[in-house]
Amino acid sequence: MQERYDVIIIGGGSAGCAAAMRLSADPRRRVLLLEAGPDPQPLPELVADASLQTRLLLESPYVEMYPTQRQIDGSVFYSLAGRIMGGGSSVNVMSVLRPMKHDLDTWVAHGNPDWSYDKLLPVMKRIESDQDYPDSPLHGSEGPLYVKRPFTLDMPTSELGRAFIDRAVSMGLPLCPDLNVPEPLGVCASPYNIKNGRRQSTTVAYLDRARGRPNLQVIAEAPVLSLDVTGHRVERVRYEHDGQAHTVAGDKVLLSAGVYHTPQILMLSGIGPARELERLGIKVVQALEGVGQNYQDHAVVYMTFEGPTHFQEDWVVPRFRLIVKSDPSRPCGNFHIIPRPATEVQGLTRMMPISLHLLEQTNRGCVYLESADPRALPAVEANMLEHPADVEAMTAAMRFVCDLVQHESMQRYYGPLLQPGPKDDWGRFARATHDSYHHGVGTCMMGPADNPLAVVDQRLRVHGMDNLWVADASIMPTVTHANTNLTCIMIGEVASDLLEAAG
Amino acid sequence: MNFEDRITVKAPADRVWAFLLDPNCIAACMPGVQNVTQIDDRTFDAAIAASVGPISGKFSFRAHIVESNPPTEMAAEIEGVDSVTKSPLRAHVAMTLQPLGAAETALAYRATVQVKGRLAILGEMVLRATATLMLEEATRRLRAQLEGTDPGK
Repeated sequence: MQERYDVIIIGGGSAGCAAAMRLSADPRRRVLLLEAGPDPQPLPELVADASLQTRLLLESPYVEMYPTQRQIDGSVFYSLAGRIMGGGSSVNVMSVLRPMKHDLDTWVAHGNPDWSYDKLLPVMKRIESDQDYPDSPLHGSEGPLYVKRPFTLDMPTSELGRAFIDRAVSMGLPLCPDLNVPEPLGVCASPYNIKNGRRQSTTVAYLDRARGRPNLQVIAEAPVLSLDVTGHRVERVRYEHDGQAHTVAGDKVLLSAGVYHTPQILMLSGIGPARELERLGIKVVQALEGVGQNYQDHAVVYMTFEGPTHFQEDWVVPRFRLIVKSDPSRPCGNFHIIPRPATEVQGLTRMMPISLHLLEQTNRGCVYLESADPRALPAVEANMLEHPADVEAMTAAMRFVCDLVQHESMQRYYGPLLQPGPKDDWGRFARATHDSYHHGVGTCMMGPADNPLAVVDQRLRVHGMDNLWVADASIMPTVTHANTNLTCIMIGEVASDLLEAAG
Repeated sequence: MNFEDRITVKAPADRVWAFLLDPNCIAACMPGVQNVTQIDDRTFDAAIAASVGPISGKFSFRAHIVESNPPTEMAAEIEGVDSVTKSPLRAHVAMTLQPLGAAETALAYRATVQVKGRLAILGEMVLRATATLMLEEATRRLRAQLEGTDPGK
């Protein structure tokens, strides 16, 4: 029997689960959600207990690692994605940060006028139930996603935390108790989607509310192999499940497989850069040069100082962060600066790291296929810290961090700089040691058809296709100056509106 | 992760060579090392304990001299796993000795450290600073022992 759905959602990540819950609210709409990873129920404690977040990353089978080379020396770091229902929201640090107004202004400037801050504020509000600002006109109090700042700036904190905050304020940084304002800057209390110590992934916040609806079918451990396309329509979705190949038909197909696998599935289906597809022996059904291009991420560099004093810190998830501009002329804060817990090895000086997160990328990377095997991971070329402007911004932020901690009020906590070392060129150090903040975006960029890199229009429909939409981090024209999970949820919410409006 | 440096030691090259060949001497140069067990004259097992914030773990490893061309070139392999993520870590250390007169030797090393598995997520962020400090401390101890009064130790 050939099954047929009104909507097939490919990928139960941050966007896909949100869209599945919203679209299945109408009992007349038959929705299928296919997820490549497992959907363990009840949730394992490693996933559900927010305090186990670092162990979840280090020990669980739910994190996919994509080896990514640094251009300067070919050394490798790993780009990451969640491979479990909830996607990134099931494995991330649970920061819940809105895109800055500047980010949405930039998306509008890329030819997407429907994505302005004013038009999207109602969507951002309907997502959340903000525990700290329920009455603010900026915030929502009835949405599915629980948002709370476990630490607020007026709370007592550790001696080190207080010294860090006081020093930042003395350098002129403002206090920013609500990070989710249009233009956050300064010492910011970090909001999290953690409720009573439990992770509020999109599985918990969204999908669990819709499970049991007779019009919603969920199939986990069902990686999609390709889409069967005839003319400008997707006729069927091919996926594997229980070791067998299956096909399923749908009127509308929403691709939410994430920044790495959405372009992979498109290319495997013949939708992508013609020359790339021909190289792989894949028949071109819709040439779209932008598929897999325009990749951007946030580069992280660690500076490590001696730690003169032992403090028993009980945290791994940071309570606050600084949002700073590497140059006062910047239109918005372009760095997160976060103090990290000490590393201690017997016989060695205690190490006190501070991480610097560049929230933009001037140049672009790409995601491409090394083979036409759908089981192979796509390759990631990040190219972070390859543009001189980004290296300059990073070294400026490194100088700021030195000014911050090399002050008498901080001497008890931060001693001399260990890394980079005295012989290191800071720009080279940053290029040779950076890692990812795991906010890859942009590989199916949203923009008008006259932009040769645009893959979807501002209504998220793939250019040249009648019934194929994309909703995940891949559609972002530029990476937000924020952790990207909440923006992905927002994209899933918008997609549900757009698919409803499409009839 | 790659590391390289060149240091000078106020000791003749043959003495530096003999020191590097002795697993007990090398183990004594590694900070935080525990449970040293010599397997043969070129191999020893040991462990190093470390903590990152509230998470503590132990790295158990085997160090083995794989190449020696006395008294100028030597290469060692270090292989082990960490106790938290069971991730394999492998290091290759190549060393060259160059006599600088009768009583001084230049020691150059090049180390390549590869972390596979989940521990690689911490990668440069935590492991690099630790590895750098370890190498610095190891060369400091090596110097102290070779330039001290206790011959061979």
